[in-house]
Amino acid sequence: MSEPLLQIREAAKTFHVGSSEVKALKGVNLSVGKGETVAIVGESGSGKTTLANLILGIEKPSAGEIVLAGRPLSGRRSKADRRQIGLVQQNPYSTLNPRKSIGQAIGLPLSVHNVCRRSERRRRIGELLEKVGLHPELQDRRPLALSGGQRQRVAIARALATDPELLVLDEPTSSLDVSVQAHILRLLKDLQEELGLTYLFITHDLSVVRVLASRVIVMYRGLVVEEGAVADVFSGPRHRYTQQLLASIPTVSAEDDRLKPDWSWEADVDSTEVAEEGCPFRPRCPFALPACAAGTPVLAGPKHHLHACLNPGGAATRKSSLELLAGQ
Amino acid sequence: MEDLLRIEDLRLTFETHDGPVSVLRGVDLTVGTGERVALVGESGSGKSVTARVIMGLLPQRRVRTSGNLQFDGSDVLKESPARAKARRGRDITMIFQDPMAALNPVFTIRQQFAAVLTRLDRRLSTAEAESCMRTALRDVSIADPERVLDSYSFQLSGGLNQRVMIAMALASRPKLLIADEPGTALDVTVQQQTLNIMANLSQAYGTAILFISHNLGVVRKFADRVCVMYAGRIVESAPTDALFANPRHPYTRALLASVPRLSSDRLPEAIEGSVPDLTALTEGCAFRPRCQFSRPECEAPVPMWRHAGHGVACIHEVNPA
Repeated sequence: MSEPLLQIREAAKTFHVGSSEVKALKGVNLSVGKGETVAIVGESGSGKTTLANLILGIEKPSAGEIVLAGRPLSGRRSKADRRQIGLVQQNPYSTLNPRKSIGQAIGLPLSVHNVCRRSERRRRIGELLEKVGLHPELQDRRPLALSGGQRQRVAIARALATDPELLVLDEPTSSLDVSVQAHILRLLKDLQEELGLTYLFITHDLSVVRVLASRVIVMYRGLVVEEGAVADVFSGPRHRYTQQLLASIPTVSAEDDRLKPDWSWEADVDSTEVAEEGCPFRPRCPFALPACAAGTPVLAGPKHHLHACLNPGGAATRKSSLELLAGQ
Repeated sequence: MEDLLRIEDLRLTFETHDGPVSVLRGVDLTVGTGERVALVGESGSGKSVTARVIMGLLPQRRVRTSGNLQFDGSDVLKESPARAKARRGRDITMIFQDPMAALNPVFTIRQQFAAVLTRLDRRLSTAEAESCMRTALRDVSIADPERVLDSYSFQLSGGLNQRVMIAMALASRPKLLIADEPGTALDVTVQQQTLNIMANLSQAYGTAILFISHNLGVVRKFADRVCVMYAGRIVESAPTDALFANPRHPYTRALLASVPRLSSDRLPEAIEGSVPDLTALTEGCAFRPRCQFSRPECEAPVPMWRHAGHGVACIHEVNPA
């Protein structure tokens, strides 16, 4: 792997809600190389957005540290630190102020960080818009005049305004049509090649991960449950949760269907129970063993493909464990 | 199969300050009794408006409709608003995209569900309503209905809220359920579970479903038939297997190509251009400006070519080159 740009060591975050505690992150390790795209996948409540907030400095970690380009980032970020990380959020309809013009939206980070002289700002905004495939004259329009895809391009241009090295993409295509999603994916890929950007890509949709990321980290209830190269995880998912995620991708051809793991949807009834001890996925897992309740499984396996599951699936064992289930 | 819903040449125009906007330009669509039909298209293709016309949920003013819309033997476009209101929530029900937004956060699920049931039958006793609610929630695989009924929508997960919505929508045993992008706001695993529950119940109750989505992949495992919509018209309609095995219309093919594949790490192919401006459409093929196969003949009105249940509105099917 290339030299790590971002390193997260044992990051934990506990929220206090009234008198109860919510452990959103329970010790997460992560390393993102320069120019790499790492995808963090998980459902709502898996802690992926909390992790992004820690990286962006919106939340302070309860424990652990975050290192960017060799320097540990403190709870209070300096302006120079904040310039290094850009953010693209999920819903471009709510992240752009409808009362402000496109130029004002992109101009704000330019003025806050003194990126360029005021006289040059208009030209610079035009350049950023061209970079994301929009017409420079669009900066005088309001978001209302723009389509969802165009708004997301504006959001990307705004994130690029400070020349960051790392972009945190929080579900950048989830609220878009599939046809528009394809455009945005292409743009992100082109920008990465052109500017040498590093992406931390947060999503619940694995189908997009396949085309954009090189490495994938699967999270469940504040823990990393599987980690590996995208090709390895997609061809041989080990953790049962990863299998369920893969099995729920909407596919459009029989060829894709064959790559999806089998998953017995009827086995899962009510998934709201929270496991206090043991594997967090246990209440929903049709493959759970008595041992799964004893302790939280730790990440194990070859270095390029780790998983935290006591009864893992795999290309070879998948069939037999399903038969085992049917026999019970 | 008998036709439950039959739409013929449905046209709808909104009068706006910038002039008339033709949102539906001749929609032909049928849904058989108990059939599951998917209506697929990009934002702005008119799929949600079609659903609202069927429900009778469009404002009376500034909207012009023409064509024929028959539901279960009655003419929906010509009847009184009172008839439409009586049918809504009884014979036709609807599930919306975001279950969190569809449920009221200041009432418990019990209060809202009971309101749905009392509207259906005013003489229903509390005990009857209670047992009806519990059965309905068990039918959508909710293991502890009691806890869910006592909760407010914000205390439940998105998946549970969606199940509650399905239970409410099916409580009247409607003939038709319209599902407008159900589960797009949810996690993929939850979305799959929701679709499974909906499919099983539609079979058990004999409810027909009109499923609206922008993603062809989502409807593939669910629908019996798929109708692809573009700029206010159905451009291709076929049994699900036939459509995915052999998509004929260039737009359907482009839409399929834009879905990321599991089997390849290549970027999906985007459709160039954008959805056409509905104020300035002519009678010709609306996909023409974005189509790589377009010919001068495409500017003339395009008839629907039909063969063995597979309909395609493309000039290349009518006169193969």
